[in-house]
Amino acid sequence: MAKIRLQQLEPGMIIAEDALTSQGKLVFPRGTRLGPESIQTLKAWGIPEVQVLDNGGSLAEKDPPDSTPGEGDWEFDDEVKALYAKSNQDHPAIQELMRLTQKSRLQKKE
Amino acid sequence: MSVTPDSLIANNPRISSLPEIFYLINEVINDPNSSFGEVAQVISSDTSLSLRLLKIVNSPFFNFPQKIDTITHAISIVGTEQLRDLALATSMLTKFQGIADNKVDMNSFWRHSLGCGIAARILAMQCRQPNTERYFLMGMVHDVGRLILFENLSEKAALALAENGPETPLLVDRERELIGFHHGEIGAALARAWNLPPILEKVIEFHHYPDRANDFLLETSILHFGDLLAKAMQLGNSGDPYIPVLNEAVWNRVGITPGHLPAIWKQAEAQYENAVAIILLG
Repeated sequence: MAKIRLQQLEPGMIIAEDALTSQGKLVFPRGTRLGPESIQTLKAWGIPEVQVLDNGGSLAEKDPPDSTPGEGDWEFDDEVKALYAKSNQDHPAIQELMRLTQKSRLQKKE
Repeated sequence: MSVTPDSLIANNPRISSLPEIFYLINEVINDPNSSFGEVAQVISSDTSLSLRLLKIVNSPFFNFPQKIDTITHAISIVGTEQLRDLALATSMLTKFQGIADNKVDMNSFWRHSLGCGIAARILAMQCRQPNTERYFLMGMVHDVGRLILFENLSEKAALALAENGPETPLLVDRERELIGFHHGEIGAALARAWNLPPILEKVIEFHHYPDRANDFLLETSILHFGDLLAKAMQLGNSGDPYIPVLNEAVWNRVGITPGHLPAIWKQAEAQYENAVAIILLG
């Protein structure tokens, strides 16, 4: 885990701790994978730096990490992927909804 | 004569006018000399409507600490216009009975409408909107244009639906191509025929295109995102289950952060099954 300044953030990195404003308002929960727009959002909220997962920067181009499940690395089943196929999956709200859809489907199966 | 959204409504006497009780309700509400008691009297004259309303105001939808036994009490707590909008929302099922019900899975259709209404209502509370029951009504009405499409132009409507998949353009755009207009425009024609306020007409018309709803950008964005949430929660299906693109302007207008979503999701989930029991099965 490393603290990264806003200027060094890249899309695809995963936030390791909740990104809060100075007033404590939650902007992105931990586990959020940053898209180009989410970096703008952090800037807009005046958040200078965030904690990201160590291997976060290279997730986009390399194989998925081998052993950190549950920390933003979600396996989506085919129906969830199809459901969101037309949406902008790089948007932080859509990413959060995708995780919630997957979670609720797993809970219903239990 | 070519078919237009307005002609589809006008040619169907079953739906071209509001349920009768609402003319009476509006008449008393619009009379400056009328009292709570008189509005309550009119609503109470419809027993099944009153029972349904009392069940809802006593459900987790409102979470009032004390029991509400009478319509007068309900009006004093919820508000006159709010209760009227809630009443209309819960009357949609009866109004559309027999419309396309052999062509559309009605249970699934209304489940989506309910889910959307519940989600939009919660978002409206977050956005501090004055009459949140109006958003519940919007949710219940937003897709009824699709029922009218299936009733009157079933071949084209079925074709558009059959083609819809994860990789195709949105169903609403295919409707426009095949038919010349879409279900939102039919819903807006219905709102005009029923003399509903302009906000309802516009929000319904533009719920897929929230950036075009000039005077009602925030209101339409709230319904649009409520619709998206109901799809994400997979509550029913009114024809198009796919999540659309969330544009940044809509997201910023609604003004919540991704961190709010789990709580909103949970709240909607908690209200949903209860509302299904009261409105769909009740």
